[in-house]
Amino acid sequence: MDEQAFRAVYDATAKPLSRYIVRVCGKQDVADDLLQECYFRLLRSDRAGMPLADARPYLFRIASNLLHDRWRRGQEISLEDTAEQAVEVHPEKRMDAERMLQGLKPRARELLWLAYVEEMTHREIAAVTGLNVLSIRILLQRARREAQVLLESRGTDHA
Amino acid sequence: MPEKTEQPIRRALEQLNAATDVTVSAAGQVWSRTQFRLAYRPRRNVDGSHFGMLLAGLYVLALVLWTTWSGWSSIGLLTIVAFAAVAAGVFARSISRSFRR
Repeated sequence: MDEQAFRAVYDATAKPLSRYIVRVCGKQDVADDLLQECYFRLLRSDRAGMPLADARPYLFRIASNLLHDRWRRGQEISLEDTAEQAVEVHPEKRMDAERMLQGLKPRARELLWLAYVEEMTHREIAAVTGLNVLSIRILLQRARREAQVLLESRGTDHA
Repeated sequence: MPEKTEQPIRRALEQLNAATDVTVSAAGQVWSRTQFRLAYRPRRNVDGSHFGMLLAGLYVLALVLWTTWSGWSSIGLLTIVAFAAVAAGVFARSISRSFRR
């Protein structure tokens, strides 16, 4: 991959990938390191010359693997850092969303983010996470239920 | 799950996505850093490491043949020593590469 092709891939993927990492891992400084590592691994791989449409899921897969490595090593996940850095759009609603995400397990955060923000299909999520499609369907359903409970309990708190 | 119950989750995550302000390094900077790392830490030479293992295996086989068969001449001895030297060199190089990473 030459520099021009890399720039095209980077400009199209860096921000969504960074947001995904920040929201799933919860730490901006860790996210910066993981982002660098994702592009390093892309360029190091045999698939560096792949088209943009293929590079995007491949980068998400690398990010997902790196996040799982962190969880396996037992490195703490917190969303407190990102809560302060986020731009104020609808503070109350954002706090609800923030709290919901904070209440979920990392795997559920990851799946919901890929499904609703990145608009990935079950098959694409399976490719990114390394799980099979059936497991994705079940885990996503569970994650939705948990998220719904967290959102509703927050709504009850407001009332 | 019905669309109606999915909507609040979708909306919440979309808002969170819009509110997440991330600053990423410029593409040029990431390219330079990555190129430096790639130059400093070359890709693992898997073929070279397999070749080293193969040579070491062949050496052990040749040594076993040589010790169990008395018909070898001094040329045979020289061959086995030369072969051992090459195998040891290749093997040591592949090990030192692994440790450098």
